[in-house]
Amino acid sequence: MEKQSKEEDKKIDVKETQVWKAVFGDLLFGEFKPLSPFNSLMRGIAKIMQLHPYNMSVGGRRIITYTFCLGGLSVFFFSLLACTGAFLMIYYNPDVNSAYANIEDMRYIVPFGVLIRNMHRWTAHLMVMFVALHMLRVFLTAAYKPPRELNWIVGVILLVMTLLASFTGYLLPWDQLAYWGVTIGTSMGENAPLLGAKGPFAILAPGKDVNSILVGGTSVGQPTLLRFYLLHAIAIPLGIAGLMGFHFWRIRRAGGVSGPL
Amino acid sequence: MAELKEESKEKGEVIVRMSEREWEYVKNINVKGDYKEGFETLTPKEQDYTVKHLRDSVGIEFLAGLIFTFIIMVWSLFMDAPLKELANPADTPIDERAPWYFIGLQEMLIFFDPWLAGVIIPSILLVGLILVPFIDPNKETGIGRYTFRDRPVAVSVFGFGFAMWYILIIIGQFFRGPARMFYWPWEDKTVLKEMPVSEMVNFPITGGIAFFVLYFGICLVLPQIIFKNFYKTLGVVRYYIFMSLFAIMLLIPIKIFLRYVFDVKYILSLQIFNTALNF
Repeated sequence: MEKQSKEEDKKIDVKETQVWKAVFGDLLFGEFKPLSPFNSLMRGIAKIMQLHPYNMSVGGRRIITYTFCLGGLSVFFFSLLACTGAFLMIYYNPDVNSAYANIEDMRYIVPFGVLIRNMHRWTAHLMVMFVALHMLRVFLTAAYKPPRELNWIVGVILLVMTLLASFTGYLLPWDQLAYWGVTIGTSMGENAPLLGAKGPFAILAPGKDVNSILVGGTSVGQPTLLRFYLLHAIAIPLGIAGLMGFHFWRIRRAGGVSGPL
Repeated sequence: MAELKEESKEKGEVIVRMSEREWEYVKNINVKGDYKEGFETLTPKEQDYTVKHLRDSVGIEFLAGLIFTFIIMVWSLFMDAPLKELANPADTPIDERAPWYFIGLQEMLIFFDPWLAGVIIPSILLVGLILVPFIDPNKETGIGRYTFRDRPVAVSVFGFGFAMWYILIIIGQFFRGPARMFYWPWEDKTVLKEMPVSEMVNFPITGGIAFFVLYFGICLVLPQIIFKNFYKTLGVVRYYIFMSLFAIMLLIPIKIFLRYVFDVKYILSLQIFNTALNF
């Protein structure tokens, strides 16, 4: 008996260590003293955010494994992209004559510019990957079934918006890679049936078709750069943020990520 | 971990077996129903046990965020984001490619006309994805866990589509060299390959129409006769929507196969009002 209890004593519970307690314990969401103003503030924030249930059933807690964190990580990547993107906006001017020079400045002159640009680029790739993997997880755990159908549709829209956000950002460095990558991408719109100038049964003239709304002319140029910049820096991030809020709210309304929690 | 042991006779009741440590953790916190004390516990519902999720998970998420920030920072220190020379509309690079997540579409441009590969197929793909919750007739099984046995059709069809998308991306990204020619990894991508000598052929119009009529006939009617249960559970509308989407998805590998093995350019090439509709 004594030996057993000694062995148990040797096991260190991470949550009981001083470091854990100091960082996460009483400071953030731990056991608060009843009348502490910090306590009520944090509880208030938690209630407003509603990202997590305050309590969760043991059964619900059990189903949450690593793959259930893919969506959360996508959100994290989105916020990281917003931070690094805001930094990049300071040094970037959406003008064909200066865009490439701005990027070169970021690489060689701006302090930490190259690091922030690299982080923005690689995190964008990670976000596209993780959003797709998140969709795979949602399908395989049947999380699109009632009452979560609407949230699945919102998720598909979010996937498309993620791809568009990444695609619009692809043009901004205005190098050969960007120019021809986006030329291929936008040429698809040109070939849309009826609404594209080169597609079957075209009824609209070149420069006035559905593709020219995106490109701002017949080929990729200054209007395209400005449009893609505005889409990339304002419209799509705002849309993603709004839809994500709705996405999370629906998760909580449905009672959890997949099963009842 | 606590695990679900068996369902009791009364509906909704479960017996949860948990370790002593888990029990110590759980017993002090909110239990709504009656329970027997001990390691083996009968509760009215498993959901009635709750743990303080917010407190436990936020710290873990914060740590995960820190770890990923660290990984991305270290990666960014050593790997520079690509930047080529200044854009030049007059100079088309021989190896122009879309960003990797659209390379699947670019890959399909080799086999289909741009209005199909770039507009129609992605649209059908999106419509199919949006329709997923409504096509699936089974509204209850498999929620919250990974299971193949309980939903074999759903998992295999979705898995097939997902895998095809990523195989196309991998081929487009790593196996295509100059002029979108196919290169094995051991072949030198700086050497321009000769265009294949054999000329591609079209099906005759009657043959093309016959192919599509036969193909969709087989895809839509045959499963209805063979898998009667499947047809019954889906219902008429769901069945036809699902089978046509599935048939269209299968056409992509079929077209690739026909192109590589029989040098077929178009299965069906129509000329309507001066507009070529090639499939």
